[in-house]
Amino acid sequence: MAFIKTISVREANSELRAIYGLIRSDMVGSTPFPVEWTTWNVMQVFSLRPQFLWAFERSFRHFMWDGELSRLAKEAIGVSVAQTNACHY
Amino acid sequence: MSARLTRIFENDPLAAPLAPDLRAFVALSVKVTARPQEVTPEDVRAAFSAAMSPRQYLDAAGVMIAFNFITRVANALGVEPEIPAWMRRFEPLRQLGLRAMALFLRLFVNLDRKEVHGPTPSEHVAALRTLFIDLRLGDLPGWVERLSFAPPLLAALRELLEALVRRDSATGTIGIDTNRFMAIGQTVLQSIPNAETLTRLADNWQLAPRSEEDTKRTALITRFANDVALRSYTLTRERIDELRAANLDDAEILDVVVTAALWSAAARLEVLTSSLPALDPSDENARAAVAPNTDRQSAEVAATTDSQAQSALREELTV
Repeated sequence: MAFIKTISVREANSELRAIYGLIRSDMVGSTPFPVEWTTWNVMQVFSLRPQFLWAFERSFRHFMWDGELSRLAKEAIGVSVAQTNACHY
Repeated sequence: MSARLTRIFENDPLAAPLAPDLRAFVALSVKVTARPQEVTPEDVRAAFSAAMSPRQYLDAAGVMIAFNFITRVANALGVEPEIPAWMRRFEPLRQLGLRAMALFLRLFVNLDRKEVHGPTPSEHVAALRTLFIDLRLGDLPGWVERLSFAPPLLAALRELLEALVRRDSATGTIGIDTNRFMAIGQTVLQSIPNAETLTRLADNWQLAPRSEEDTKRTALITRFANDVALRSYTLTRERIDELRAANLDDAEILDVVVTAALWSAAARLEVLTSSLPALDPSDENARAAVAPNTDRQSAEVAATTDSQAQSALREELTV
């Protein structure tokens, strides 16, 4: 999944599991998906530092859900940066 | 975004059929990602003038630096997409898997606009000022205070920095190796000299004297950090193993990657915002000060063009 160790939902302690739960409710609201489905690899890679994972999740919310930019504009900028950085994730 | 438009972006973002404001944002995104040292105040003004409002420009800058951060982390740490390994081995299957993932996101992930409540901009600025003092970095650069105009950007900068350097949220103690944090900053900023205040601040930092073994380890770490900043897509598992061999555990390796990616993103943020005029939510003239040829009428024309171009694009994509 990544070059460093990551902590899955099953292995997570209560603090990390709670953060994974909050990520799920941000992503899909009350839709009853398993937490595993919304704990994406790009989130899980921060799992060795749960506090940073939570800050990253909150930042993602700030950038992607708040503000005046349209969703199309956010996606266009995001894909442009990813393409330029040769990031296939 | 439709699959077809995504494919255009994946080949060449600058070739995508877009409205003028979005085209300006995309052009700036590509330049600030690939060659931040070449971004000029004129480039910034062009995108700022094309934006519908100062806030919209700053929101776009926020998305640029957010993706600059996360794509470097994902590349450096080899994060794989959520598709089975056997599908990733064959390009058509990998594409199919990615499309299925995109469909899942579109159908189930709620991307409607949400208010994110939290501290006020002035509280964020005060917290960042305290953080700079605790790290012995000196005064907070003026361009950071300007971000008060875009609270999400300011909040994200504060939250990510605090989470990285303050390990104990209860006491707020600095938990990161400050010497390593600054050594990485100095290395990353060498390639972005136009982030002037951050470069000056890093250059003024006196690295503490260390043993020969520590010096070698720091050299290995900064070389790795430099690659995270400049060519993250070249990093491999073997490079991570080199860091492990130098006695870094995986959490420390994550710290190194995050530190390099954050310095890299912060430097780009300075490049994107330091040449803007002082902005105030009630002062729409701030925009005119930086773009004297852009008046309300041309903004309306731009809005119409934007709407027409997007409608045309939607029709084209529907067909």
